[in-house]
Amino acid sequence: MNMENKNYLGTILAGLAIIIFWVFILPIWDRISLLNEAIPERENMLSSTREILKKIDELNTQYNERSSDVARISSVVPNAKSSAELVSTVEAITQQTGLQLVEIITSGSDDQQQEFQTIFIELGLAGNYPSLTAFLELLEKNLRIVDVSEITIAQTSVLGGQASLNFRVKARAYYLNVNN
Amino acid sequence: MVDRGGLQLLPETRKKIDIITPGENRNLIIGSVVFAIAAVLAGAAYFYQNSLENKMASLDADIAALEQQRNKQAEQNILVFNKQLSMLSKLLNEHVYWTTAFSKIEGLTQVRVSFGNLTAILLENKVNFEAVADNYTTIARQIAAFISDESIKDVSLSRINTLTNGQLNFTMQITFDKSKFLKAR
Repeated sequence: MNMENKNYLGTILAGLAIIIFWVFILPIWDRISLLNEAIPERENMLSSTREILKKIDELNTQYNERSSDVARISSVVPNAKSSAELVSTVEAITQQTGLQLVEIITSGSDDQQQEFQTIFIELGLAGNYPSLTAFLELLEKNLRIVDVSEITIAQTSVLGGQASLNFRVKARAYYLNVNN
Repeated sequence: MVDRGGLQLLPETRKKIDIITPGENRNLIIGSVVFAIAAVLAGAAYFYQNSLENKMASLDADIAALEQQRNKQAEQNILVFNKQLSMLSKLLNEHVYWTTAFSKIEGLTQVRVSFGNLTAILLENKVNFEAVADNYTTIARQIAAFISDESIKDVSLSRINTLTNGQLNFTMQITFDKSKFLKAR
């Protein structure tokens, strides 16, 4: 091979090396850089996911072990409207205290953005003052939180020294907005 | 070549004489070395990329497997319970005890005062009531008794009128401090 050919061959080989560099090595290098950034992120994600799942498992175990306490707390602020339970609770309390339940009006708040929803209850009751205080006491001690917001007492008649009274009690009960 | 009398001036065969010029192969060597380096680099990079791709795929598979292991019902239960707990403390702090308020009013009511109608409104922190007293002194004592209680911020007497039996019918408004008037005993 003469010198000229050798020079040509050398130049062709160098040119091929440059083509290999541009066509193969540079794209692979870019991909490697990308992967080198992505892999630690994935590793972190994997380890944090493992930790979170482990914590969830632990919490779930505790949740199941203390299911009775959980159920009691869930009764305080249920995760559903549970209007039927509310009505039966009010009825039971009025029966216990000797009040006559004349009327129940319920309505709900429409604000879906709030973490918890409110049920507004308006009760029409008839009876005497000690019954009302007993009623309020039982309502305050009720497992599901009920906040009385307004009380109206109107005297209707006095029979044998005991005044007969009409009451209107406005109250609020709450439940969790699970969708929020 | 024809032999002419035995003297042969030109060689019968031509012998190539290689003259080695210094640096003759330089370009070829450089080109070969550069090519070899590029080829080795390309091969190494390719294998390294493959190993990284495999690692990435393995991590993705692990993450997907963990995702499959998730107990979504348990997560939902814990999430709901957490919300319930956070709400609970807020609601318990704001929970009102009207029995405390009524027992305060009972304790502060003068013997010769009897209540008729009453309206208690939490939002306004007010109790409006209509009552009957035997005389003005009793009403004055009633106002003083209410004001003496630290949970009552203000007392307004709206109207007093004399009934046919000589007793005084009056309407009054109590403005209370919710944090003291309606808190658990």
